[in-house]
Amino acid sequence: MAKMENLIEKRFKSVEEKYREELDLVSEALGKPCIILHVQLPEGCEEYKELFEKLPEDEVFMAELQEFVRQALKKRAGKLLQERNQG
Amino acid sequence: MDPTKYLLGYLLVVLLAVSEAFPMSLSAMVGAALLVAFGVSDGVLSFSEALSFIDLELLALLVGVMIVVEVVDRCGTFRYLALKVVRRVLKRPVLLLVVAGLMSALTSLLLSDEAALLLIVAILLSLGKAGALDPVPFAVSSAIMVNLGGTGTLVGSVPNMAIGIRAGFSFAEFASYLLPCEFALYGVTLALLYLYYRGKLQSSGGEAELEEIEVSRVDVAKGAFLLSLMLSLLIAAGIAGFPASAAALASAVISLALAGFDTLEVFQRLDWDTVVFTAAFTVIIGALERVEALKGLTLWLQEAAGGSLALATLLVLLVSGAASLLLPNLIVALSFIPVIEALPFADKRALWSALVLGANLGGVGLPVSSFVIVMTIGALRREGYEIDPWAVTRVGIPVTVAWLAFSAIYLLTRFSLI
Repeated sequence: MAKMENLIEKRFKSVEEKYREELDLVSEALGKPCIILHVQLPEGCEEYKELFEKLPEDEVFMAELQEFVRQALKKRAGKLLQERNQG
Repeated sequence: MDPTKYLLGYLLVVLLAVSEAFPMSLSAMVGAALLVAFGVSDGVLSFSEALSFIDLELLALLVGVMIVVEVVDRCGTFRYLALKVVRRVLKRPVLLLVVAGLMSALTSLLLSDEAALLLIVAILLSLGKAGALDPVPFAVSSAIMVNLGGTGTLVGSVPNMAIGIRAGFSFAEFASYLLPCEFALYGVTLALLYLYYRGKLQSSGGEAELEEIEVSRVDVAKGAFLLSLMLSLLIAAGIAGFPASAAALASAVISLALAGFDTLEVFQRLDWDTVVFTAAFTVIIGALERVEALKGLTLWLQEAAGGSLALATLLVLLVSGAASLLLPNLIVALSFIPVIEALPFADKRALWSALVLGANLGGVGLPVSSFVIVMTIGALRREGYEIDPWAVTRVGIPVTVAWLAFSAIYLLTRFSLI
């Protein structure tokens, strides 16, 4: 049973990047734009490589990231508005 | 010449490939090196002879088709069509099962199994995330249909290319023997899947935003054009007596020139593991043929069939179907090709067709043998759906049995063997 689990994990890993890309393209086609980012393992975190690779599957992390993106967008939009008003 | 050590080398490659301890290409290269070394030291083979076992026509067809498929996939043609069609039937679960199944099979018929599956599963899981449906039955059904799709054309799968080239089938000839069977099997399979999943098919449409489909119409049209061009060239090559590989390579060149994608990026995305595996494994099979290591299987088939083409056809279907339950279908196809060539029948069309069906259709019986099923389970789990891989065999085994039984009847009637 454990072997089967490993096999599933291993085979899916081999196509996971393509799957994520396809998922993003489908979401985009459905009217939900998305961006694909490549984030490198931060320096000094080499020992957390496995945890790092599992982040995209972590729902809490993804929700936090989504929130971070929302805040960043609002901040940038506010700044743009401010610049326009000043200009 | 005692072929035992050659057979042991072959078995080592098969075991390494099945265990997936290394990439398939590396396992086959190790095996090829081993068998060539045996052959050279035994004085039955030279290195240049071993290289001549590599089927360049097959590799040209394979790479040509892979390039066109990658370009068409990038154009988003199938994504656009699949989303358009799914949008229309989203709130009707039975129709959605049929449509998703047919889209899966037809996409896999024209693109690769992997591209077809990733597309359909991504759509179904996006809809699942949006609360539109429970994607599990639809995704497993689609994976089964992806496995079925691609059985009926020369370029539908790598085993088909290998068998078709050695059989000397043109694109049109191949399709005339096998496409009717594939289309009939769509009906049989969808009926079985409906019976199995009928209580579990739920689709509300939810809040899925399917009103807008934003893709470049130019790219969609470009993809459709390039695919049609490849199919037309493949048919024309058959009529003019050119090899299918020439048509595939010409289509690849035109696709790269017209699509405007980064050529190196396209090359990077090709499945080189399969290309190298195919080249190395043909060397292994060539070495086995040289020392007559496959003679035992040929003689067994010959004796069991007792001179009856009908019986030989059924045996090839059954044995290759059973073998592809456990082994990658490309290994099954490449291993059986010399066996069929050695069988003493003047007209081998039924035997080649039986091998195509057996090698393609054994793939969903067990999770271990099915890349598409395992990929689907992996994707479902990533999105939080729990699914027992062995539960899939409850639908996979009956479907495989039905496929092989139907194929047996088809072959007997199509080639007037009864």
